[in-house]
Amino acid sequence: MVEARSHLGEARTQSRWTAAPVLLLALTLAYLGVIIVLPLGALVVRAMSLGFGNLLTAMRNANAVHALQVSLSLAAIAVAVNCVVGVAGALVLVRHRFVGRRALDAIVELPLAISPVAIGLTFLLLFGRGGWLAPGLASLGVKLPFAFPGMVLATLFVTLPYTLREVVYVLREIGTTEEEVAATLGASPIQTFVRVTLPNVRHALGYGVLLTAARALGEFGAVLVIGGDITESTQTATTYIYAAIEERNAAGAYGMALVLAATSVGLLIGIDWLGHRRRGAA
Amino acid sequence: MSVRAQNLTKRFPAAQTPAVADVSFCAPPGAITSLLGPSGSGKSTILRLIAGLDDPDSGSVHFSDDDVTAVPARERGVGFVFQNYALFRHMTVAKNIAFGLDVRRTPRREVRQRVDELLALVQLEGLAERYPDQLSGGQRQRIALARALAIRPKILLLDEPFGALDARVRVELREGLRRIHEQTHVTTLLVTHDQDEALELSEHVVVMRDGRVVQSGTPQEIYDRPAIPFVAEFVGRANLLSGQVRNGRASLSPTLSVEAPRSARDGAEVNAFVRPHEVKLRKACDDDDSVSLARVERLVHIGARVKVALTLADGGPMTVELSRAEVDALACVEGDRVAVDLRDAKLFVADYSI
Repeated sequence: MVEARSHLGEARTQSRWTAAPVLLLALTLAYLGVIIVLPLGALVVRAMSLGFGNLLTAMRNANAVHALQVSLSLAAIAVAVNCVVGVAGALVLVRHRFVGRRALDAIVELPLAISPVAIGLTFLLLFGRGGWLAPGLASLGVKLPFAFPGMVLATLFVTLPYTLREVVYVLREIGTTEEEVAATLGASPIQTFVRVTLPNVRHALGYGVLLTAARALGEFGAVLVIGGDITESTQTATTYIYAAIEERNAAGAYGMALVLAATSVGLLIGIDWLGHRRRGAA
Repeated sequence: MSVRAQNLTKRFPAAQTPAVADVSFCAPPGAITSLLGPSGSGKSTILRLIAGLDDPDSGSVHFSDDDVTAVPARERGVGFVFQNYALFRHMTVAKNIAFGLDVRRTPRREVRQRVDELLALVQLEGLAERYPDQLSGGQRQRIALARALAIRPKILLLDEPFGALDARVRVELREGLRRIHEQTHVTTLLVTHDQDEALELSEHVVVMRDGRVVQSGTPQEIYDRPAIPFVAEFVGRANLLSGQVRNGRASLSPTLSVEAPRSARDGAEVNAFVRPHEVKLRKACDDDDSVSLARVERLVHIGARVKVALTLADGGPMTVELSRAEVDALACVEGDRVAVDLRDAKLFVADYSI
């Protein structure tokens, strides 16, 4: 009897392994494989097939180096500015009541929904010849369209939500109790901010920073339109790849793509690691 | 240092009624005073007003002779223990306790000494380097208390400090708090909805309901002489009896009438409260009139005591608490009739409507 029962038990366990969940798993893996693994794998293989030396030479090209510098500068500026804006903006959004707060909450998410090309175009219309803000800019002596400042603006626009949303979420989750305790213990507002608030949001902030960097490096449409893709001036790593494809410069295109992919993977690892710790452990 | 609340009123936006309405009371120096009341009675709001975490719409807060209503929270020198402890999650236990001293730039050696002192006071030596998420609820609460006491506050405020803990831990912490208070003698204000806690811990009790003070006094005064029916029922259990005034006396079932309040007219309704443990039961005899008899509905044994649920002659319920010995002597089961004896009971003749 006992043997029969265990035999039955085994059969039931076995049947679990042939049911729908396995099929679902297989489908998911296949989908991820086709969408993500295959293209990345093809990129690496194809790039390597051109010869590592060729890739290196292509990357040493002055244009390529400059394009990479522009991308990295834009990412660095986006990170620096959003660290401040992300935290300050989040504090305002979460800790203060004011008319129009709900609207502001929604507006902050806009950059996620608008097409980057449209964003670039809007900036061009605002600051380009005959634009609404063109006279103001001229008086300040700043050249925005088809120049670095314009690309900075566009990058800041598209990266706005990332740090802000992460910090807002954490601030909402943990509430104000710790800050109130700090006040009763005699801490000034600045002491409370530095000793209590900042440490509590640091993981969320770090996560947001990595997302910001990844987004900034990957930006194409907005910086293309507002920047004009002028070689050794307003060309970014991404627009460089696009230009290289048009010019049939395989080594250039694949080389730069590989560099960006490697940077993204590095950021991804960081994102994954920080992601586990970002939502404020109790 | 005494704490005095004077006509405090606080209304939150979009609320129908004020959270706190014209509340005044005085917490004597060096004593533990409880703010006792059901949820929503405004007691936590009062505590926050006293701490300076919220501002009152009107009224004032006084520490001894000083009006501190305009003083910001961080200058009031109060220690506050929140219901959910609110330990700084990214700091060690030692850093948590030291926080108040660190922001005052106290020298490191002094800080370390004080932290050790307090860990000993709350009996948690050896946990200095742990993080809050590695502690149990009871331990976190004690650390929160140590942290509040580190700055040697003039006043200690506790907002339902034992609410989220299981019964045994709660009792232990209660005793711990009593012991610490005997050592430190800090004027303490304790917010609780648990009347056992209030009666056991405090020297002074302020009972609140719906944002108002309904009675204040010593625990014995509150228990023996409740001012209104709500207090009689909230503090200690009570049976509600009603009857009518006849010939200057209020007759309540069963077999008991009391002198009616002078202003009550004949025919007026009277409500009275009887404490469950002051009612006596005895076996029904043949000559008991039906009015004093009651039917036993249920016997619930709780440790050494027994709760007897009865239905009176007029159909109303009554709960009586007896010792196990008394129940055994009674030898009754569910469905039996027993005679209810209220002669030794203390009745509070409460509100009456005309």
